Amino acid sequence: MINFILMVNKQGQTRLAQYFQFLSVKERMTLEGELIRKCLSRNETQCSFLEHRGYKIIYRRYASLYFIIGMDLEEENEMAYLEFIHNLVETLDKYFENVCELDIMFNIEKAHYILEEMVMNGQIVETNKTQILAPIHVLDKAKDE
Amino acid sequence: MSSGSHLSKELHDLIKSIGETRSKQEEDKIIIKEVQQLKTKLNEKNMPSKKVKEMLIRAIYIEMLGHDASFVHINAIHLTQSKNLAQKRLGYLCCSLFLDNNSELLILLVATLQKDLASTNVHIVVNALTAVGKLISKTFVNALTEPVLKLLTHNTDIVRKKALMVMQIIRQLNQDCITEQDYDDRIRRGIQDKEPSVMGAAFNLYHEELKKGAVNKYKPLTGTFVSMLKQIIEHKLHKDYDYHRFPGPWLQIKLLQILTLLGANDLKVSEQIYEVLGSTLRRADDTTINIGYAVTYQCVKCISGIYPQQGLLEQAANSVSRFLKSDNNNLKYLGINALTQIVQISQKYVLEHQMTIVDCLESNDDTLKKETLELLFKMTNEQNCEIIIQKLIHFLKTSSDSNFKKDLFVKISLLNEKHAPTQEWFIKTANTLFEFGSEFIDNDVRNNFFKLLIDNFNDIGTEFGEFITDIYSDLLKNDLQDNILKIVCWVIGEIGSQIYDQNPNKLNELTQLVIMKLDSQLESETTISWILTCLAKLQSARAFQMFDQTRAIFQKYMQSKNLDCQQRAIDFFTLAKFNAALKGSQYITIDPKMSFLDAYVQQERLRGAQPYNPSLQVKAAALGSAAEAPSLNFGPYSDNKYGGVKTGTFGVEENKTTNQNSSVPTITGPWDDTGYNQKQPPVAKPVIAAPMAIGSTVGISSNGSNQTTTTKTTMQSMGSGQMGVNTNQTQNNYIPPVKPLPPKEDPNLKEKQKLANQLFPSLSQTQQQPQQTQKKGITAMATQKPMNTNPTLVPQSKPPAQVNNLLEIDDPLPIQQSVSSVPQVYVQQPQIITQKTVVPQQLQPQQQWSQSPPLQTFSQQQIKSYIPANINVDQYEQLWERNQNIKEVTLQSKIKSEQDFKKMIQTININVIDVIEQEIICAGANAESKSCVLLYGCYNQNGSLDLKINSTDPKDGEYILALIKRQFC
Repeated sequence: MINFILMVNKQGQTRLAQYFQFLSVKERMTLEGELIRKCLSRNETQCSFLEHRGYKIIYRRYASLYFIIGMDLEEENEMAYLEFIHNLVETLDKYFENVCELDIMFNIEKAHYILEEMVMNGQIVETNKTQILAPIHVLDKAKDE
Repeated sequence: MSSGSHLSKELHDLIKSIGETRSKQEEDKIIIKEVQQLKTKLNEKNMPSKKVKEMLIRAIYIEMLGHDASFVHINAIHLTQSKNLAQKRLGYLCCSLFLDNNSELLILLVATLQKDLASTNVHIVVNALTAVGKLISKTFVNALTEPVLKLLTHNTDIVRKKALMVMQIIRQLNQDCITEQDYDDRIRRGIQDKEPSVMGAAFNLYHEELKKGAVNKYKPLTGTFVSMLKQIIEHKLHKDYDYHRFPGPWLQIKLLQILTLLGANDLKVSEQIYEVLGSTLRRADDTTINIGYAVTYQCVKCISGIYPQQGLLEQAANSVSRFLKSDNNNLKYLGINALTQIVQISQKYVLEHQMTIVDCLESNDDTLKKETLELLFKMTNEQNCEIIIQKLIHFLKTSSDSNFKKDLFVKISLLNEKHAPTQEWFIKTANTLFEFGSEFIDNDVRNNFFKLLIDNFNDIGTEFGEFITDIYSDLLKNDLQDNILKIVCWVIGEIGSQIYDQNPNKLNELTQLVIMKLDSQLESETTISWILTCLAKLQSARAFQMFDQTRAIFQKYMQSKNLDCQQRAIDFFTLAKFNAALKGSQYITIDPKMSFLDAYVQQERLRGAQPYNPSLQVKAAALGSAAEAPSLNFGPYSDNKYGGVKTGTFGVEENKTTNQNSSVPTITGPWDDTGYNQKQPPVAKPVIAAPMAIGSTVGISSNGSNQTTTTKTTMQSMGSGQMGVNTNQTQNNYIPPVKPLPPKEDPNLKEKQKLANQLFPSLSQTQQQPQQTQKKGITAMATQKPMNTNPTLVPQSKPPAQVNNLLEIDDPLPIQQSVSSVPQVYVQQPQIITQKTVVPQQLQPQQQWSQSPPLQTFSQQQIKSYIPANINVDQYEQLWERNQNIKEVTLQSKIKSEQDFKKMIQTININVIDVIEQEIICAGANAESKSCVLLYGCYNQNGSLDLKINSTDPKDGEYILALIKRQFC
């Protein structure tokens, strides 16, 4: 299962963190710090997969923002999750229209909602963008009321 | 949309400033200030809900950036009660981000969640389900089960989908909430749902159940899954499910994972899968996009996971080689992993990629390297193991990642055990491994290693023992980590003490080295215990001379504050006394036949128990000819053939652990009536051949005939030791090992020896024999002759080695057994005597007698019915083994000298065969019944007389005993 999904920028600043198994604030900070350092230490040609602290890590960089997924070691298809990250980015892009780091910062709860629609209980439940965004649009309307 | 214009100025500025910081310190400053502000603001009353919402978003930032915002948690819970959908959802989101599933605050949410789940507003229900999925915990899972299950039949697909996922969590939290049947029904309805998104969610549930092992009950669904996969790859799904024009890739992958588990090791299920698998792979292979590779990879995993099919394997291998040839490391990674899967089915696909694999090993990409190591591990065999282990050790030396090193350590030791080309190589590799991975040596690793050593030692013998003793005593001269020192101590104590049992110089040298280590810097006191144990073992060696030093050491540690050391020191100190006593004793006799059980066996047989009959077929096959197989061998051997086996070490090494079992089936059971054959033995040759062919575990010595005797000896001793009664002899007579004599050449043997040599290189026989005796267990152990016919055999009656072997590091208990084992035989004595009337009837003394060539040389009948038997010591030994009516008794007699004894013998009219000090063996024959009588006596100046009478007919024993008692006591 997926244990966490992170967005961390090159400066090591966390922009979004969703954990599917509870870690304390301190543990999260340490883990995120270690992970971004590891990711930063790797170059473009190296593969996007790592093992860290008993997690299988899959990461992908978009401009200055790293998307990082941490999974159980037994999870078998790294490439599928690498593409899942891309699907997430495309979904964010569809919602925000040309998504950038600031979009996520100003709308952090929306980014969370989108993730919540895509992943439940650490498993991918939805990859269809229309289906993912439908409930989010409903919320947007509710806000306007 | 990134303007943030929808936010208040305050929040906007905060986020902006956070975004503009360039260091952690700056960020911390802003957040600390923010925390202060937030705390004061929270005290404001009647805050508009929009403000509350923004405060919570700030709190999200505070916690995300590593600070505590627990003071707003309660506000998050309040917000979930908001009427506004967006605010409600934010409330739930904050709860799931902030709160641990065990948080007590969550209880406050249960009522809200229940209410929302039951709402008529579908959006509220969706929100609530999302929240339940994240927040539900064991404490209130029951309260939410009912409402969630109800939603599984909701009109809206997104509700059904989420309800399915929540149901999965509920079952994970508490199995009792949903019965298995109910659960199965509900997920089946899930995959039958008309909405693909609900169906897709249900795949997750199936996959989880299958991973938990519930494979069989879902096998009937294989067809359903196959047809779903088929529909997906044929673009039957709405194109919204496409990703880069690839249809439902994640659904395909999930289905492939499910099918892999269903088809594993099941040809029937796999046959249903092959076709769709082939086309899925083809379609995925046609793409050049990442998601296509992901599906290809999953197909390869599926192909190697289900029952293998050649065509698909070829297809998979092609895809894999495309991965491996790619410049993209992600694809190489997939390729290496896929190859690791395929290799487990067939090694042939690796060959063409050897160069790529080596490249990956040298890669600067750690991840790739690690996966390549995994692949290497899986593809290691005898041919490539040296080079692969070398590589792995190189990584062990250079790596700094302790998880990686641990992994390497485990892998190297496994490979070393499995594929090491030679013993020497094995030991050296193990030592290097221990040196660079000493932190990973735990009890399991150690015990496993010791077992391997002792097994090898038993197989190979002295040569190996000397080799490892040398290696490890050399190690002792260096500074050692405790973990390695423990291993060294064990080897020296266990193997060194046996190898150099007779070599005082070596023993002293080893002892010195070990004692020195006591003074070195040790990491832990348990190491001292290991050293003490090692000393105790050395001390039990026969040639050990440094008793004073070791005694002083034990005395010192008897005061130790470490209880373990103290206990061991006391134990060993006490044992040392026994050691000395045992070494000095002449009269330790162990009844290998366990004849004290004769009565019991007889009794059981009378009650209808089956006679012991070890596999006749095996025996016959091994002997080559069924006719010859069971024939008796009455002394066609020349003296020479019985000699040679015996070396000075016999008896000393009696206690080594052993591996003789494989020869057991070849023993002709003593109770084996059918196996008994009256035919005259065909002379030596076939008999010699037999044990060779059978005795694959048996040693080979430099001379052939010796070897045979040894083999038989071991076999016999084992057999009789196990069986207790041995009345009906086959050719497997006990032939006692005597002093070494020049070998006799036998052409047949040479060939056999060659074969066995190939199977068991450098097997040495002197070790073999004692080893084999020992494994039988203590009671059955020493195959003791009534008399040691050869001075070199005297040690045989001493069991010092027992003590040696029993001083196992972590198990001091057996020590007691060893002590008790000796008297056991005596304890049983009276029984044997009282039971003599019941002694086996299947004996056929007449026939046996008539067939015994060594006894045919008798002179004419003499007084009473006895005549002296003109046999030599070896023949005596043979006969002793053949006749199992042993009477043992200790008498107070008038016999105080050899003359007295001989007088007594003359009275009975049997003759003396050999005399060694106070032990005398005599033999005679009953002229009437032609049964044979063997007598062993040991007299003492004080008049105590130990007698053992062994006769083909138990009545002879009784008669003679009565005679002696009447006339000489």
